[in-house]
Amino acid sequence: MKRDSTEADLTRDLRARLHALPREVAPPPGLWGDIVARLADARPAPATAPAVPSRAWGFRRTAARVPFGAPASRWGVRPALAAALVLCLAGTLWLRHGGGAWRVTQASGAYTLSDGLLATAASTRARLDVGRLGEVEVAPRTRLRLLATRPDHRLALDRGSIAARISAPPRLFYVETPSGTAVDLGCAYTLAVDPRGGSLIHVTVGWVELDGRGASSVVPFNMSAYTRRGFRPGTPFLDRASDSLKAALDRFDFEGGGDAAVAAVLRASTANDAITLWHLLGRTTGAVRLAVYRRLAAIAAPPAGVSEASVLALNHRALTAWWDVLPGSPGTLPWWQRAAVRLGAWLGVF
Amino acid sequence: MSELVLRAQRGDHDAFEQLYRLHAGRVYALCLRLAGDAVEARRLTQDVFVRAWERLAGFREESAFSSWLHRLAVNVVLADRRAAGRRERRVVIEADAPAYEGVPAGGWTPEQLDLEGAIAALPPGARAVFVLFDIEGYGHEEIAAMTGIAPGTSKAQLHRARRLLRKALER
Repeated sequence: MKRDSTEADLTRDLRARLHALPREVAPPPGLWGDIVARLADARPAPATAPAVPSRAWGFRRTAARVPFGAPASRWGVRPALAAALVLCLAGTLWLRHGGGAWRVTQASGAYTLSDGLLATAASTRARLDVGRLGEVEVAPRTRLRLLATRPDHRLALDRGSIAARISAPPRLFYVETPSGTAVDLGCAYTLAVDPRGGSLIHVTVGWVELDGRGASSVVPFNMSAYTRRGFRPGTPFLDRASDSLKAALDRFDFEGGGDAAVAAVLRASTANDAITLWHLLGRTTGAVRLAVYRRLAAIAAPPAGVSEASVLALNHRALTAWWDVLPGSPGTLPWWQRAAVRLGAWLGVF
Repeated sequence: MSELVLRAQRGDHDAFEQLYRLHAGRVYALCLRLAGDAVEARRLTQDVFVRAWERLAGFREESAFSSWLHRLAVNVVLADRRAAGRRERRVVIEADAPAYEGVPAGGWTPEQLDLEGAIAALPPGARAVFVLFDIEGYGHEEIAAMTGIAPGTSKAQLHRARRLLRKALER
């Protein structure tokens, strides 16, 4: 290899030090485990279908329908519908394509911003404007990578925590973590990532979809969910759910607890845990799914037209119709409450 | 072609893990020096081995596996740098807090004169050329092809890196 650069400026001291540099540096422990987790995602999908059906279709429709105003069918005027549609499209385009840059608008101390990486010091809080969509407050000791501003806003939270407040149509704001992706469906939430890459999301307004490993969880307000590397997103649980229910969910989601863990969840469940049980329908099979169905039906009867057979077959229309009437589902709020929540989020009240 | 590589090409995870054990130290060292940051190096090393797994079927015997992996690692890190540069151009800093934390305003203290630390503190462009030329043994033409800069720019960056390092080591 031709070394055509002058060596004159390479001092003897520097040359000696370079010569002494090790050719290899021991990689950090656990790195292979991280790679294995990613290799599982890189390989073709397994032949067996995941236990949970694709939820994206059901909730994309639900999420897009719910946030603004009354159900369209109540207006009954086609021109108004057309105008609303045009306004929505224009608004979405405006949000997508205008003011796309991220801006660090406040910082309480030192932080690093280099190569799209924002890292806060031990005592620093920073605030980012997310184009026209909303804002993200970044906690101390957080590493956040800014991945994209078009066609949607996307960042990666490697560690630490953020609080996001987004007022935009669903699916314009994404936060990737080492163990899953949080998809904004119109909401405010906090998201924390631990050193092992696991995360905890807590939703305060609206709802968020967690995606990972071919499965999804939808986390409405007042609920939380965990993610862990190598696992599908955890089952959402109510903040005030009992400790025994949370522990049983943890065993089911991340420790291979299986049917026994589901039985413990059912025993610990109350009338407030309908959303949690609804998620378990798609994550169980056979007799266990039937037991989940019966417990959920005892809490919140399925609406007319939703049969036991259709639910047990994971028919998406049936599941979505039931979701819409479950206690705690955003779909059960009257339109004016949903509008008030969104206005509050936009004004920064929540 | 080695038995390990052949087995890994057929999808054998154990074989690929053995290849990882054999080569991870070299790849991690390269990522660490090019990125100048341990957390980034960890992420990039992951990227390299995931990419290697995905592209292993295309590996042929024309080059040694270690050389192929090393070149792949360089490409992964440089591509990540280019993508990061594009992302950074979309970010506007409005706050008046210091933009770069960890680099003392008055220069390096004697305790920081560790060569690895000084390399990590080089500007990204100069660091990349220095690591590739002085540590990894690539020529300016090769570096220019890999990084998309002119050979003359590579030489200038190398000169700048050495000057900065000498300055750091003299303090």
